[in-house]
Amino acid sequence: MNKAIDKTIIDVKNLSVYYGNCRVAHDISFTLREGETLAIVGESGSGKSTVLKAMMGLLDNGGRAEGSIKFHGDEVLNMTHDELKKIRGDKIAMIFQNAAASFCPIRKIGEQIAEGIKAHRNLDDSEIRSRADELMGILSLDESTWDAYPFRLSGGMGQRMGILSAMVLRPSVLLCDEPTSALDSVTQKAVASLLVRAKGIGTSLIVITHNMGLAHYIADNVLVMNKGEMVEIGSRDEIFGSPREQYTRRLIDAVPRLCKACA
Amino acid sequence: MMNEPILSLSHIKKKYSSHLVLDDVSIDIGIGECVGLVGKSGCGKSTLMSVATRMIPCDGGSISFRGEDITHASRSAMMAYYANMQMIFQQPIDSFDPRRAIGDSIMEPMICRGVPRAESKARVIELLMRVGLPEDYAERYPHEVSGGECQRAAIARAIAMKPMLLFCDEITSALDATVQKEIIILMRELIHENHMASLFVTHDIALLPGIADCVAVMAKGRIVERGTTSDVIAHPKSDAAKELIDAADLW
Repeated sequence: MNKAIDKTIIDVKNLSVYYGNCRVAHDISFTLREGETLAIVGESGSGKSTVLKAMMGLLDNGGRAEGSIKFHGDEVLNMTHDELKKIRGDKIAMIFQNAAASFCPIRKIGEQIAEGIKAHRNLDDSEIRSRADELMGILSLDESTWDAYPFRLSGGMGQRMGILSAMVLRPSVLLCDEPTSALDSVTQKAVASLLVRAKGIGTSLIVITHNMGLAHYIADNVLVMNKGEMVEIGSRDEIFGSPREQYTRRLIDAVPRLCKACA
Repeated sequence: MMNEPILSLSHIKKKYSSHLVLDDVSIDIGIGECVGLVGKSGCGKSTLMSVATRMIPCDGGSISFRGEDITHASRSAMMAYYANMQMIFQQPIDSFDPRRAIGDSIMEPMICRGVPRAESKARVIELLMRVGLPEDYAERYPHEVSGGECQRAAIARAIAMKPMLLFCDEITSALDATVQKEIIILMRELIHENHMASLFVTHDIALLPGIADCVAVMAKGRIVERGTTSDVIAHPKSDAAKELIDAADLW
């Protein structure tokens, strides 16, 4: 296929993940194209985060992935540790459920973010700060947050600094693992809006969530998982408008909705 | 009209160092009434619940339970009130002793209040089944069950002594949406069956129509709006309520 017109960034085919003899994800396939957002939804334990970790080469405790994960045509599962290090953070960045907890508690957040940038790019401190300031403006963060310690920040601020840390290198893909689960509903919506804005500047997103409301808000396509298996995949309108599987319907029905309640 | 109050908090103040986290908060909960307390993280909801249950002291105001002033009741005096005042927390697994089987933890409040062991054991099985858990879960440890199952067990423990008042602090926040819905339905049934009053603390106003009769909205340590659940949701007056309603409509 002509690479100039093929906008596929990530192509996952028949991915299975094992811990010892236990298969925790089975035969997962999907494609992510430039500027697209894919939501992977399902209940706790359905294997969503495992798929994400496999994509970043971050499977722990002897986890083993089979199948294929291609990033811009290159096979991620064959990459060496050093090759993976080069793309992590730089080309594919991750936002975790509790991003503030992924910072070292005894060092200022700005120092830690700058360290990540310097590992990938030859930028001086003023350039780093200028990029960070631009993002802090977009993320509605006060500039003083750069010099704060993680424990000084509220959950929402910590999460936004996690997003900043992921976006500052302008990766082409953001992998978000339950990015709003640890937040109150108001902050959840603010973070969801920021992710939509990231999408607006051409970043592709994979968002792992059990919150179908968030999936509807943010995704172009939705992959539903249950007990390590793919239940169904389709466009947002297909999945929410005419779900084929009972399990998907159950997830959709569980979303508390004010408009329903008031009707 | 509200039933006779079972719990009244009047002009409560609470400071952490110099920071005022509860600022002149007053709220009544009527017998058999479920009050939803909603607000953003950090607005003081959980602190208010901790003050109401006397887990932490307040710096001003008064608390009365069934007409008796318990603001300064001693710890031993409070133990008697706790038979009628139970709590369920956000993290179910953390609220159980990890070294004890779930059945033993559910039985403990009954044993402490002199219910014979054989009767308590039978009641544990009855409670487990009522909250939708198989009876062999009595032998399981907290780490051997899922978050939703553990929260069901915590509910069983809380209703073991048939309390008149139940405090629920973000009891569905750590759960999947599907499990969240099951827990809300279970709580609604149990509250009606046992005619319990309850204070249901949450940041998600969308949960309240399924369970709460009325809503108090908190912001920055104050109650800024209250009314029936349908009124507050249909016609919010405060900015805080409007913001919560707007955020609940992600979809």
